Amino acid sequence: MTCAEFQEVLPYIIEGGGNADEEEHLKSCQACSGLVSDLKYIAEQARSLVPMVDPSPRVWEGIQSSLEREGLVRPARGMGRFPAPVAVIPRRSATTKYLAAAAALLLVAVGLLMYSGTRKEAATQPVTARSSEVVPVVAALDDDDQQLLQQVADHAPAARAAYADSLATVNAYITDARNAVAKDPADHQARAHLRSAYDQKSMLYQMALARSLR
Amino acid sequence: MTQAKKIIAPGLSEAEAIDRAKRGDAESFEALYGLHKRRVYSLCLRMTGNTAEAEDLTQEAFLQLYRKIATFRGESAFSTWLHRLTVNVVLMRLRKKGLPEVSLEETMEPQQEDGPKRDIGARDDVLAGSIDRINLERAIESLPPGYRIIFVLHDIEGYEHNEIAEMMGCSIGNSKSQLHKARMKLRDLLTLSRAEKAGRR
Repeated sequence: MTCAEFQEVLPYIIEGGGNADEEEHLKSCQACSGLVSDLKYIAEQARSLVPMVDPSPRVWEGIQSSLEREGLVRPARGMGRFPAPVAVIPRRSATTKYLAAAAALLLVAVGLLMYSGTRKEAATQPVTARSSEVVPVVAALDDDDQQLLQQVADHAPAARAAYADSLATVNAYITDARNAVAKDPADHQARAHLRSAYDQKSMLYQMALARSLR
Repeated sequence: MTQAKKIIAPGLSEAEAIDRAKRGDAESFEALYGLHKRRVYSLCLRMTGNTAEAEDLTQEAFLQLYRKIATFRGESAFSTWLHRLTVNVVLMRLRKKGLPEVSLEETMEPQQEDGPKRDIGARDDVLAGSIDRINLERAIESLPPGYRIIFVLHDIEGYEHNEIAEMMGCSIGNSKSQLHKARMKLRDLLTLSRAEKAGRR
């Protein structure tokens, strides 16, 4: 078999292998084996390419506008009492350990960010006002929280600590947001934070209950 | 404040975000966008080679996703479903523009192109170990559109030839042939780039 003949069929055999003649030529011909090696190397390198670039923010802005225009999104939820936890049908998902650790890490980051934000705000207030509004960094777990943790402990003892951390952090977040709203009821951002915090706590409850229903 | 809100959203599991998005929850839409925007945009950018076009297509892909999300039943992974939707959006746009997605038939005789014949016995060394990802990305960008699309779909995104053939409306043999040409072209570009670097030293 000549190199020309081999390279004629190469597109069709490079992945699955060729017949005996073709394989024999590949073994014995340095030029063709070098070519195949290069092409496979290029394909292998391509497989390792990862998405590196984000679209500009205007892409999301455009999507948001269209979603609202088409009525595909519900209007933002208004203030309301803390939503009762709802049992959800368990779904297949990543391991609880990963979910709890990921949620805890994110909540710690959020809690710290929020706490540092409100502390910065408090620092601009007169000293007399600030001294009466000191809040604990981490809020206590209430009776509902303790019950939930007991349920988690009964079904997934290893996950209890992660849920406890997450609940403590989101409670601290709620405390901070409540205080911010109390200081200024017209503070829309603080209200939005409080809503988000309650949503997050609600999600934690749902995740924990879904786990215990499995 | 907005930054804090965005950090919270990813804490939502994907399955829950999908479920909420089906009910029109705005935060869940945003969470899904945050999770998948990079991959969708990168796919559009690699297939089109144009930033503005890629952004436009990214927007269109997500809008189609949100319009159709109620039909997602979980038979495949969500990312797979979204990925396929994105490819279809790009291909449809290319067809509308009348761009040659690929030379679907062998319209040229092999010897009229930069073909393998020129490489017979001419090369002393191989590429292995000498390509960096930046050079490869640049080389891919400079491929002719038809070659680039097949290469992106097969070697980067992992579609099989039978899937590509179905999407592109061509034969499996043609998909293999075009992929081979794309790889050969990249080989030339990367070898040239390496030689240029060596010459500058």
